[in-house]
Amino acid sequence: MSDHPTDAPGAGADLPPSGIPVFRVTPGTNRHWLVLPETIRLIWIVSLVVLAGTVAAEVAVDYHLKFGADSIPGFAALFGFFGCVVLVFGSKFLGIFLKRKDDYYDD
Amino acid sequence: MTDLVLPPGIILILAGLALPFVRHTARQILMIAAPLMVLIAIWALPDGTLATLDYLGLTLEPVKVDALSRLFATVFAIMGFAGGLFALNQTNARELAAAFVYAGSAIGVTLAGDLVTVFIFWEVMAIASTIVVWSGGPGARGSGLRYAAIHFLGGVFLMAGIAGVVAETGSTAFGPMQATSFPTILILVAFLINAGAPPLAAWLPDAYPRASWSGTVFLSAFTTKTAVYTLIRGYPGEEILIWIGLWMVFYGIVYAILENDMRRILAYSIVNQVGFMVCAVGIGTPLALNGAAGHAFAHIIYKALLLMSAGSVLYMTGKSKCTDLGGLFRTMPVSCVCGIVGALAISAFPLTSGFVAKSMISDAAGAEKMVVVYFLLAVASAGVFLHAGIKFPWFVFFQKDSGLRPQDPPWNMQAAMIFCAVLCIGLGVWYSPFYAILPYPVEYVPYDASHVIFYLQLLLFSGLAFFLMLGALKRTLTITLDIDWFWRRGGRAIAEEFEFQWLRAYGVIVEGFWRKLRLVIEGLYVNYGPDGPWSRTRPSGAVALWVSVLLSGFLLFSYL
Repeated sequence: MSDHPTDAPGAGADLPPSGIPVFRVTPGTNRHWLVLPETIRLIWIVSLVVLAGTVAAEVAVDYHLKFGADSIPGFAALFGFFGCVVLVFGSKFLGIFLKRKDDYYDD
Repeated sequence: MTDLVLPPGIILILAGLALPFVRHTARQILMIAAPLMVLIAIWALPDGTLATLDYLGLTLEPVKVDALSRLFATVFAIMGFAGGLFALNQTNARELAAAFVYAGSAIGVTLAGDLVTVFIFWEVMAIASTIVVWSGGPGARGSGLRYAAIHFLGGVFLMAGIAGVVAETGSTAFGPMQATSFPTILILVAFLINAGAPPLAAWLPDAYPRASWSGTVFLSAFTTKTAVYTLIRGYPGEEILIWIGLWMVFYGIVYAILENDMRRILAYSIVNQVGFMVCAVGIGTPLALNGAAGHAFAHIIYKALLLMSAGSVLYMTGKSKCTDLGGLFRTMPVSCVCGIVGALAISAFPLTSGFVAKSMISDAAGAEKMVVVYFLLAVASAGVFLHAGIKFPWFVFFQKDSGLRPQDPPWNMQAAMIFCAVLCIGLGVWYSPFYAILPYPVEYVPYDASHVIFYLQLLLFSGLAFFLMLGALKRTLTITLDIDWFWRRGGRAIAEEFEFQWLRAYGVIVEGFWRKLRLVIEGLYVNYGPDGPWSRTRPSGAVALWVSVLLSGFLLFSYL
């Protein structure tokens, strides 16, 4: 059983629902400027500057948070970052027990 | 005069029923015009009960308008319009008809002043949405059946609850209740089933991704948000909803992190987002209820936008798994940018509709001094950015180069996405008109410097966490087991065990029967068979001897 009815044989030999064949190239050919290593390095640098900027902005305004959370500098940054780390690894831990091959329910 | 007011949702239902009988341009005009007519009708209606009806000795109020019902009816009509525009190329008239009936009955629920009318439209929604799921093709049959079974179960709870409430109070009016008696608990359970609450949430990620590229867009909008509406109307401040909502929030995040199918990721994030709203209903203050209603309004639009973006990818490529996709930003710029706008809105980035709506929910928790709830909602907001805000656009449009070079979809699908994207940003920037239509007066300022910095830090650093943990988030060809395992596999295991045991019992019974039968036959054979005592041939001399003995005995006794 395929995952989606449109992948099913007979549903128009591999045509997507639009009926227009998908144009394919060999992955990695004709590299877009956005995926060049220099661009990605630039994106990282700009992003890290922006990240630092959001923490630095705390001193620029009258920064106050609920429940006194503003007493720790960069509280929201740490909270968001480590919250996500816990969520991802918590999910992966549950995934050990709950993940199955995606044809598990197909016969 | 008031008796002449028909529920505006009827327009969409009638339009839906007419759709299969008109073709081409006429059908397209109907799909665009009918939702706009409904929108005008909703705003033309004044507040108050506009129609009453006596039915089976009950007083029904099929049309009752206030700010809350108008807000939901409005966004449902907008969604009917955007979904219709997106679905113009859908050739399956059955799906379109069902989708319009579905949208119309959702509007019917929001404008219903009594529980019986709620029930009627509720069940029409269940039937119509099941047909939308089924229109996804042969792969949707099982999911559609499971979907229908859960919703009809909910319908039974709702009907039983309504009957109990009417018997207790003698009134069918739909207003605030408390889940303290059995009937009101039943109604709450029915509402929660449609909201995607635990333990039965699995129907949603099971069925929605099985619908067609356009069907999922409609499905995402109505069922769960109608449930949110009924919870706001019926159970404001019901404390257990806080914890049910939080469970939904984290359930959605965990399952979406593990998921590979792009539309199922978005389906899990529906449960996650509705969790925020359910939690807000549980908090129950005017600010929280405004947050729940406003978040539902914003959510319908950005979730539809996300599913339109995913639907466009599915429509143009026929693929839905992250492992098959990637790098599509090159040739699908409109779908990509609109998907990113939807992703930012669902993550509640400042200047999007999600921010001005969701901030009210977390601040309502803060104002009520609910420390744990406040911080759980905050970490969940970071989790939303992680599981939907970045994950969806990243794995579909960026990630690796899949080699696929599909074009953007036809103009109308692009127009529908741009329309929703403009709304997502428009509501976030010019939020005053949006706040003005919320059910309670708003004195809330979303763009407070501390608040904005808090959210920017929270979201951007969760983005950093995403890219640092990309290895751990790599997509695999897997699904994740949910509670529906019990009826998809567990039920079968029980059935198989039953069958095995039955075969064993059958064997014992049948064998025993044959053994008994053989014993009987053998017994007969021994006694009556050719060698049996009862079939022995006796010499006629012996018979004559015995007869003469008997006769002489008789003679002897007759003389005595």
